[in-house]
Order: sequence, then C-alpha cells, then structure tokens
Amino acid sequence: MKESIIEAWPRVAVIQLPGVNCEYETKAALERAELRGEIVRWNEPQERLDAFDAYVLPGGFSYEDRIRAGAVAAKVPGLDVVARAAEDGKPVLGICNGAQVLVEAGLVPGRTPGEVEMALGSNRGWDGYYCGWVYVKVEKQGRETAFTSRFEDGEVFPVPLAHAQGRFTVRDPDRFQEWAHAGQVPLRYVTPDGDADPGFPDNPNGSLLGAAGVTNPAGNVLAFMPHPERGGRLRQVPEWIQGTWGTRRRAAARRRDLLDGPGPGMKLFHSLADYLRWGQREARV
Amino acid sequence: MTLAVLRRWLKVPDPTALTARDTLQRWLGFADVLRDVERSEVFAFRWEEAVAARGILERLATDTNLLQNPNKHCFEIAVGSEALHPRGNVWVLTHEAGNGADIGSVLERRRLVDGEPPQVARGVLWELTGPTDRGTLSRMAAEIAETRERRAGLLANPHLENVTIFSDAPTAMDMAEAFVWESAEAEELR
Repeated sequence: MKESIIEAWPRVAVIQLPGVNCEYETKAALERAELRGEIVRWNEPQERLDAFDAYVLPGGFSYEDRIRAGAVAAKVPGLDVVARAAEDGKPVLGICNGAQVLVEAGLVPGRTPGEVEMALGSNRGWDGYYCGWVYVKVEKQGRETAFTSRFEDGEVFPVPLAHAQGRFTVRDPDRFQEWAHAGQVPLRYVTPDGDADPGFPDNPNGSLLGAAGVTNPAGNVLAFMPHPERGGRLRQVPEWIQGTWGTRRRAAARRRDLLDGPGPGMKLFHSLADYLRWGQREARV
Repeated sequence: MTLAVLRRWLKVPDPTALTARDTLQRWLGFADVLRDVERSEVFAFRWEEAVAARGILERLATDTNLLQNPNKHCFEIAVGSEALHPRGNVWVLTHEAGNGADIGSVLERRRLVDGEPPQVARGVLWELTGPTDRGTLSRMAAEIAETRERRAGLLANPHLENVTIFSDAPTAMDMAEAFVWESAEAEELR
C-alpha cells in the first residue's frame, strides 16, 4: 500500500510497557482496520505520546504483574498522557493486561476519573491461569461506544482469552449493577447460544454479571479482558467453534483467500476506525 | 483455640519488593521518607482445639513442599503470643478473603495433620523502613497501603484485598486475628 495512504490513517499508539508481549499482534490488527498503529515505549517524551488520536494498552505482563497485575504500570508518568486523552474523549483500549492497568489507574469505570473504583481479582472456577476461547455478547443498552458500533446489539462472537486475574469485582456489587444499567458493561461472557450468567467455563473467571469488558461513562475507554487481536483473521478461529463463525471457518478450510479474511475480533478494531474517522454513531436501539 | 503463623521470605533480594520501593520513591513521592521495602508471605493457621502447633508447622515446613522451598526461602514460626521478626519498622498485611483455603484442603486431602485440620489463611506482609517518628511513620504506611487513586497508594486494591497496619512487630495472634476466618463464606467466595 502507498505510504501516502497509510500516512493519512488515524494514528494509534500501542504503548509498550516493560513486560507486555502482544504489541505486534495488536499493531497488525489495527493496520488491518486501516489505522496507523505505532509501537511507542511508555517512557517516550510526553509531547510524542500526546500526538496520537487513540491509545491501546496491549496484553502481556507489565512489570511482571508484580504487586498486582497492572498495579505498577498504572502509576507510571506516561499514563498521565493516556488519562488526559481519555478525559478529552480520545479512545483508549486496554486489552487483558491493558485492561488491568486501566482499572488500577481508575480510568474504568471512571465515574470519578482517577479514583480506583474496581478491581480485577484472581479467576474463580479455575485455579490460576486460564487460556481458551469464550463467547461474548454485545449488550448496548441503547448506547454506543467507540468499540462496538460494528456489532449488532445482542450479537454473540467468539474470542480468545488468557489470564489469571480477570474477574471484574467491586466492594459493593450494587454499584456494578448501576454501571451495567448505564450501559458501561457492553461486553459479557455468555454460553455459545447467548445465555447470560453462565458458570465456568463460559464465564471463565467468575466476573460480576459475566463482565468481559467495562467502559467509562462516555464509552471512549474500554477495559476488555479477552484478546480480539488474536481473533483478527478467520484462520485463527478453531474449527470446533460454535455458531456462524465456526460455520464460516469450516467452510473456509484450505481456502487461503477466505482464511486470511477478517476474524471475529476485527469488528472491535473496525468500530474504533469508524469512531476515529466519523465520530460517534447514533445509538441503535 | 490455637493460632500460629509461618512467615517465609526469599533468600535473595525480593524483586517485587524492590519494584514496590522504586514505584513509591520515584513516582508516588515517598523518596524522602521511605528508605526500604521488603516483603514476606505469611500463612496463618487456626485450630479449634489446643495443639502442639510449632511441631506440626515445623514438620510441614521441612517434610513437605507445601509451605516453603528450602532452596528459595527462609522461614520462622510463631505461636500464640510469640512475636514474629519482620524487617522494617512498620508493617502492612494485605490479604484476600479465601486465600489459603487451597492449602487447608491439601492438608485435609493428604491427611498431613492428625486430627481436625486447621483453617489456613494466606497474605503478604510488606515490611517498610521509614522515619523513626511514629506519627510520620503511621501516616506513611496508611498512604502507601491502599490504592485509592491513580497517584495515591499501592500495596492493596481495597475492592479485592483487606489491609492491616502494624505499628509494633506483630505476634502470631495479632497476625492471625487480622485475617478473615469465616471459612464457609470464604469457601463460597472461591
């Protein structure tokens, strides 16, 4: 592709904190959505970090998960830029460890920005690190976010996941219910048929209300525990996956042209691209 | 009732403690007051009846790989009113309800103790070295203990963990009483 075309794409910083390991896959997924992903180290000068249209905190093990996953990364000065950008309405996506950082930094649920209002606890139902595919349902509650516009309300999609501390929890669970009613929990673990409140392994970590992703009130910051970038191509979807994505994957067997097509995770990145190009769409109820 | 604690710490410098110290000194404004951070893991045991706890824990620590690894850890045991000997001059215990239940169930399943197995709780003891002035020391520990805002607090997330600050080196009883012992509730949470 011509360099001049790529130059015109919105710029998205993939912040490379020490210990992350998904930055290159994330950059590749952004580029397939026609976004100019750039891997940027966490300690770059603030003016360089300021110059992006959106920010992604990728998955991995920032600071080796010392103290608590995301706890140390949430304190680094480079996060000031991300916090400011979030308040200014720029999109910020935290994937897995990035989600843990956003929660520890108080950017999600962000009712009082900067205040830590939630935690991501150790998985329940499975002792330790859990790795597998899960099904996530989009629950828009009449509200659009920067990351969900390409999904239909109620759509169920498969996505890979890998973590030990992914259980969204809060001291007062009623508050979490309030956030959900306000549309701040738009992505939830369900059974392959879309049934809510599943047990393990459909809800792989015991998250409140089956939360897989939580946003701030404005919907421009998303903490998402699964890895959409690992489901960015159809070839990454296992053949045994249930539903339309499994059917599509099986039908594409040995068809390289089809296998290289978009996987279920790409809608999230395409939604981000739409948001950056055209702004917020009207909510589709 | 018998309360006892086994505390273990690394033989080499603890990288998590060093990271906590650097974070607090460089990014959270404690460079002038906080001199050092060290860390140990504590296992608290509660028996409903009177037992020879020290002997039981010594045997578990040396004959099984459940509580410590002799290649990695040093450990000490305290029973009842016996004091523990952590480093530092103020201490923060962080723990999540239900942590340690897995060890309790291994003790039961593998029949590693005679009679009724103890309840087990597990936490992290942060050993802070700060100023000698008691007031400043207590304020520092309270500010460091819980992360309430992005630029304030670090060691525990209050939505997940409980915190107890000790101004004097804790005894086994002090430490054990700081844990949540409602085992049925903790089991249910898991």
